[in-house]
Amino acid sequence: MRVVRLSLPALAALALALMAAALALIAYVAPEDADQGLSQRIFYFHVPIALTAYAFFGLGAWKALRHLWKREPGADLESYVAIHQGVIFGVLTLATGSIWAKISWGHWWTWSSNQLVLFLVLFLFYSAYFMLRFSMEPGPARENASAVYALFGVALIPVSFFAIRLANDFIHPTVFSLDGPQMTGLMFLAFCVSWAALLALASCLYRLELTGKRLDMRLRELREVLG
Amino acid sequence: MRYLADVGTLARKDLLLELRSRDTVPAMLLFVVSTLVVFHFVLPTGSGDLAANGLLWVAVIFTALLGLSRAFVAEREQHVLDGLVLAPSDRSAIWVGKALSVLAFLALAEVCPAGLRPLLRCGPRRDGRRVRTRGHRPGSRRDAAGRYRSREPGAGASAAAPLLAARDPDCDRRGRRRSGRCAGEIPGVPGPLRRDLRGSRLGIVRICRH
Repeated sequence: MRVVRLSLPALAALALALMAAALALIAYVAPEDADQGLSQRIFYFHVPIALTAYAFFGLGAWKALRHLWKREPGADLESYVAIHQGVIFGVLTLATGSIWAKISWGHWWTWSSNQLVLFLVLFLFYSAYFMLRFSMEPGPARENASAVYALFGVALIPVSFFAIRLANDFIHPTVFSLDGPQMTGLMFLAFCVSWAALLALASCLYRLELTGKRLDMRLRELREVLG
Repeated sequence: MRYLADVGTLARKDLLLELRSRDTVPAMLLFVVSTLVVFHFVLPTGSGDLAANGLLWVAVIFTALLGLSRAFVAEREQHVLDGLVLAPSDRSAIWVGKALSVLAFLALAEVCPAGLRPLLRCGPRRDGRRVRTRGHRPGSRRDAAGRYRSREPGAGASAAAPLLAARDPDCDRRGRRRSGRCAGEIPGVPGPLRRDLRGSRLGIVRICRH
């Protein structure tokens, strides 16, 4: 299967178009929730952002595996940038989730909710990835240590994801159950478009940051050669 | 006054370096947040403010140590310490300037958890008191207007009332008079059924707060 490689401007245009479509759908087309009213629309941001964060942590772990197993040359940097994007989207998940929690539950945060705490733990785990990475000098040792750390973290992702399903405290809403998405077709459409838009946006940011970091590396190499 | 100007210059140098490289404050911030998360699980429920404040100060001390241990790393690596010592200022100005900058980093790193401390105590406690919440109701469908539809088609509030009475133990147990908000929906509007808290998947759960 040949993977189509979009150029960065094309990807950015796609992300822009999808975001505009998503915002239009969320604001005007999606029906209002009978129970939560207007505040339910945070769902269209919060859940895709969380799923994107998981996706990028997974991508970081995949690239880390490629680095350790196949010794792919650029995999370490790609793993680092993917985890960076995951952490950014993790912060956004926590922020949007807290806002939604304040509106619908009356509290910004609840410690007795497994899924919230597990996501926080996952987020702190990957924040510490950067501490690990920058405590070591650039080189093969740093790349290997970062890759191993990223791979350990990936075990937390399914745990965090399924905690929402398995937890019995009935606090965090579960919208996608075994019976399928518990929402009308239009809501599901808005959700899917929003998810696609956020994935496109995150991919765009990922590619942008990767390009920038590669340029930095090239610049540093040239400086060392010349100086 | 020259002494104060020297101290100010040195402190400003450290703050500018940190602004450009941003390596100390994020590390301190991450440490503080992680430590407070761990302390939250360590503290037993009902342990009160004294233990929480004590552990907060422990976190502050260790964060300060983290900041201090990184204080002279840049100078040592770039061999700037000799230049600093040779500068025409009192040598204690180097120390005071460094102390001021580390204090600023510590303040920045602690502002976040200090602001978050009310959050650390909010939400339902683990001693069993519950919070009013509105979860989603799995297994139900929405109609064209996006409103919830109860499982049995045509079940109104009147048909559901005995069910509600049986399945709302919290209000019963605490002897609270059943009001519209706690035990049922507005009459006439087909509302969500209560869910047995032991896990049958019927309806939205609305747990009483007190």
